[in-house]
Amino acid sequence: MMLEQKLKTHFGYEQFKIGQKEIIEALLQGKNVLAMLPTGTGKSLCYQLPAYLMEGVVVVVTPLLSLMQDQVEQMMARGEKRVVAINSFLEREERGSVFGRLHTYKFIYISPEMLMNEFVVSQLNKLVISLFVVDEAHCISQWGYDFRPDYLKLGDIREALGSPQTIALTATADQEVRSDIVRTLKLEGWEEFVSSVDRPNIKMVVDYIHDTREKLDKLLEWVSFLQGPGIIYFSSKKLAEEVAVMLRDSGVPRSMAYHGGLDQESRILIQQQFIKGQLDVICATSAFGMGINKENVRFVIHFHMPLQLESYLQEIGRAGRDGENSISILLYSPYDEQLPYQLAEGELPTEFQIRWLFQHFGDQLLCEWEEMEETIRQIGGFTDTSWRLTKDFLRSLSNSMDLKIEEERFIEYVDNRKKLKRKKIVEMLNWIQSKECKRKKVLSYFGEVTHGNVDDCCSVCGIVYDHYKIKCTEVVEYTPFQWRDYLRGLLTKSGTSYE
Amino acid sequence: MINILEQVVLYCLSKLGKERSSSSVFHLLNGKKSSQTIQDSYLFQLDCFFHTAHHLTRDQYEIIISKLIKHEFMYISSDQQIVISESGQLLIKKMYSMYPFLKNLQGGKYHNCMQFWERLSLLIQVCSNQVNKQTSYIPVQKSKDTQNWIKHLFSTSVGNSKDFPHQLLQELQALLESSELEVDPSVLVARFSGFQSIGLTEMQTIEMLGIEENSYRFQFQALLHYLMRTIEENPTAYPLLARMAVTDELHQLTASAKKTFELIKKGKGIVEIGRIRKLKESTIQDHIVEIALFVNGFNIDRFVEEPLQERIKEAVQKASSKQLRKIREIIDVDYFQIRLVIAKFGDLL
Repeated sequence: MMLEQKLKTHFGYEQFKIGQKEIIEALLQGKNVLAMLPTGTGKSLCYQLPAYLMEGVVVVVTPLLSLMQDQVEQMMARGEKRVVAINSFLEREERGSVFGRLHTYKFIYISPEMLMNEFVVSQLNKLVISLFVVDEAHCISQWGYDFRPDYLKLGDIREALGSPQTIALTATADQEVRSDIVRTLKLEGWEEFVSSVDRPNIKMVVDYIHDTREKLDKLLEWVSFLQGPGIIYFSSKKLAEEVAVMLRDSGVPRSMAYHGGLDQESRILIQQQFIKGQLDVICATSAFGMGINKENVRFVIHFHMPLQLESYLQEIGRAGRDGENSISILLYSPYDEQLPYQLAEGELPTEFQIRWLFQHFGDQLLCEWEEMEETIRQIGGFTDTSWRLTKDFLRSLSNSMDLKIEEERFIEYVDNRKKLKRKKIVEMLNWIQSKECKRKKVLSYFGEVTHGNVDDCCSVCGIVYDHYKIKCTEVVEYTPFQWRDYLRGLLTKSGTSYE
Repeated sequence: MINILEQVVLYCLSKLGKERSSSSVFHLLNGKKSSQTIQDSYLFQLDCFFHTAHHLTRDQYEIIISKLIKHEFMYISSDQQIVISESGQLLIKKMYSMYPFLKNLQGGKYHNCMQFWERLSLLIQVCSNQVNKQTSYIPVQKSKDTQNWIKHLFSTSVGNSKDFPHQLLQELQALLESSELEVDPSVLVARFSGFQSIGLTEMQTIEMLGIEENSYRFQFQALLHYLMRTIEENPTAYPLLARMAVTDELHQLTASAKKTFELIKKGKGIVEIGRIRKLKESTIQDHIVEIALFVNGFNIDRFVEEPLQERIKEAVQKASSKQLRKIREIIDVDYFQIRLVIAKFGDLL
């Protein structure tokens, strides 16, 4: 009972979500843990709650900077001020003061790049680390769709920190990836908690559209039919923008686009408008959703095909966090897989680019490349992601290496990544085209079996779409903006304010 | 149809006359922090437009230029000079009556108005949540500077921060009711966020108010500049807002010029600073010109003796044009000395 009380005091929740309590108990018994919990089931609580019951500091390694900022912000908003994010955003001057106060923090979020720094590790070593958290742990595995070379070194770093008690968290990892995680982190003895990736309240629909030209019409049809709020995912910023305008012009006035091309202020505002219920539909790229806690998303539509089942699950997982029935719809028309193939290629450097790099810069690649980074990137025509990968590789080079061998090794590595990505797309495509139950099929991909019948399971098993139909067509009354009222409403006690 | 931005470009080109290339107007509107651009803006009384179209790209600017030529508001003369046509002159004359809010622009002085906006919008959100006893929310401004400033404001006002929401409302109401504003206050107010209501983005506001995009951006800035000026002129009437608007003179300097300024304050000379910072002397001179422009009361006697300052001033007034070359035909001194005197006394000349 005691744990429930702590949950109430620190987080304000009455009870644990499925899986959380077992994990926390294992941690409190001093065990290492590998936990796979689907998105939206409260992964971070699994280490945040025990943190309050353990002496010392919790170090959280997480690869996505935006996600790190979000997490830290949400903790601050909750009232936990003893939290800090150490990553490349941290200004030089700030860095000094953060390291000076390191012992005053309870939670230290850190990027893998920063952990590669010996000074940083030595500073962390002065602290008592109660728990070492590896978030998005699937990034460790070369078999994972989101492999990050930096993550490979986490095992050594963990050792350098005195092998503290560790929890590795991930939303999606098959058996192969899971054993990679344990091996790389050098965990001796651990307990594994694998919850089902199944979210029965999210219904899975694949809508086959024979003619690509009808796809937009079909999308508009769905959006005006379905109960919101909802998210529509696109692979292109431009299309996300265009569809948002189209929706606003055709009866869904509270629709906005969200993508990485917007300025920061707009991104925050649109995110918050959606969370507070001022928007019904977000037309987004995959930049949207990470770290967003909105309980009542009722539909997720994919206009383009995701690059792998893992991303698909992650994105539809943003629906129905309140446990209520929700629907996910993937629109597919013939040859849609061409776009993912192109995008996947763009994420990797080509063999031609790699050969060019070695031919032109030769020995300079060993140490001087950082000064020429912009030039190399521009002339070489590297995309953001392909350059990040190349950079990671260049960083790993040292003087004693034979560049000729390294060149071939890198080309082979990239070639393997390419094959892996293509394989992921094929799997995604197979799932789309399969005539089997969609839920059963995706579960078997993660080595699970279905647990029984789900009502309105998927488009193969059959769905009563009316269950997801918009309930009341709320007429949004147009009232002209009155700045005096609005300003007064903001700065005086609510009651007369918005909604 | 010619939009406001195109009209402003035409206006600036007419002011610069034949003395500068067309791209100097681009740098001016774009807010390029080079001493040449900054100095020009004061010299030709165009400092109000400095940095007011910082979104403008080179390509967009070139399109505006060709459009102005195509519509015959100006043409390129045989000696490659821009000449404003009669219809162009007419358009220029009408500009301020068509867009009266432009007279509130003070881009040179308040080009850091976005910092003011960030502080103001965050302060409103914090106050709105305070009034409603809400302590957990996501701040709409992420910049560490802005967040630290707010923290500082509250930690130095223990006790009376309770009154902030009320005080803020009173001060803003008073400011926004002014007839000199010349724009609908919604341009600003619709973008405020608070408890339970998140403000609109720039594009959403533009759409809601049905204003042309360029016009909106000028209106928004004109409004901010008006607020900053009014608060600065009358701080006792707006005590809370006055704490936010303090224009930090040093803030306006480029980072490099700031370092040079530190060394000048320690009594170092140009040559020595150049050596310490491993920079060319001419670069240090550029910094000094920049400092003279922005730092009130910066004494230039060390670099130009006082009697010489007077003689340069006279020469500037006598010269047929504001080109440095023309001025130097009258008085034989360094370009640096002329530039420095103009920077220091520009608005009086």
